[in-house]
Amino acid sequence: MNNITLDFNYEIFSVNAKKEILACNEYTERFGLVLSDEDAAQLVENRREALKNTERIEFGGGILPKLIFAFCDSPYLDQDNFKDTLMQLQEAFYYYKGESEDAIADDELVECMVKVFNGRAQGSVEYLIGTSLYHLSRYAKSQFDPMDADSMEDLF
Amino acid sequence: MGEKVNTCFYQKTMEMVARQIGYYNGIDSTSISVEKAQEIYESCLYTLQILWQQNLVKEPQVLDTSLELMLEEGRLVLKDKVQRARQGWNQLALKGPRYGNDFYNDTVREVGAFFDRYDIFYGAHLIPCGIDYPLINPVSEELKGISYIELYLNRLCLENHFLGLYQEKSIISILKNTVGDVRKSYYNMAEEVFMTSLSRWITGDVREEASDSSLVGCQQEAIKVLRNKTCQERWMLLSKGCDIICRDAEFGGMKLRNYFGRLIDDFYIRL
Repeated sequence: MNNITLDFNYEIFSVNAKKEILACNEYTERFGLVLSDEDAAQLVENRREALKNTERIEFGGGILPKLIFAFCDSPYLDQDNFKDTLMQLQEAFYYYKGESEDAIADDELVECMVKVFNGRAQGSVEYLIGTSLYHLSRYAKSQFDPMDADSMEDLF
Repeated sequence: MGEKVNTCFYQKTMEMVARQIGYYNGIDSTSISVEKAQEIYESCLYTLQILWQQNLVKEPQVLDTSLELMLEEGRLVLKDKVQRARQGWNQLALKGPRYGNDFYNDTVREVGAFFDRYDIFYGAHLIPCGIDYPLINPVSEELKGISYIELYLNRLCLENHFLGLYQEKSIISILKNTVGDVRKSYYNMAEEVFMTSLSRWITGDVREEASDSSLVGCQQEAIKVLRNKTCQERWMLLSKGCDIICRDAEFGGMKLRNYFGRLIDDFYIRL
């Protein structure tokens, strides 16, 4: 009994996750954003990879529904980049979560990511991913004036 | 466990661990690091094992009973064990020997901290304290959580009970002459006192108070005496000496006799 290692049946969790992702369409379609069955399946697969890479496990719909609700009203998202951006955001989320050693709550982290994505990063996931957790939290707390972007530090 | 029970147990365990991880995360997080999940899993398994070991659960129950209920029962057993071990530690801290050995003092202090740090919910299998003081009979590293601490304290109490048979000044005199730096050296106090007493008995030194000079090299003297005997005589002498040394214990004399058996075996092999 001592030598058994964790081996959860991810298939069960994947079915639930897909359903939960598709249920978000009801809310996001008012922003012109809809995920297809195939998109949801890809997001679930991407989640599995992201979790594996960051050595984490998750149950149920996971963080995706939260990310979808938090980012769907972003002016930088449209139907064309919605799924791909969600994939990158998902990866970034798990990376930050691991970096923080679980000290930061999901909601707090998502809030920081939204603030930086819509503010300083101006919709660039690359910029967001390139920001350290420390700076992410710092930037989220500071004001960002898009009209005065030049005076901000380290902007791309 | 039978194969059917094994499969069922495994499935139920996975579901239970998933729920336990959910409780651990609360509303703060949907995910958890694999490392922490593994830790929670091992904690659950250890708690269930405690029930198994105490025969509080039968094999068919695994199929019918909710593992969560069994986990709750296991946690009650753990709580009881922690409480009893804490009482044992209190006695040890209040009445234990104070000969100023750093390893002993640090270990007693650390075991005290164990009771504050021990988490029966998500880290029941862990031993969150440092234990440096060596026992005559070390506790198996395979033992986990409170099971390890319980046995360690039992053995330490037994060793202290033995030391309690001697006057403090005699013990200090023995330790000074055998290990030198009583405070900083890494050694077991009971072992030094026992071996010195046994050696003195073998060499015929039966005085209550031993002079420093008689303690220096008394083990070598005993070895010389024993080497002149046959194997059977050596063994008889060692066993008898051990019986005599342990008989003064008001209670647990037999327990002490068995406990020191390993020292006798080692001494015999060295001959």
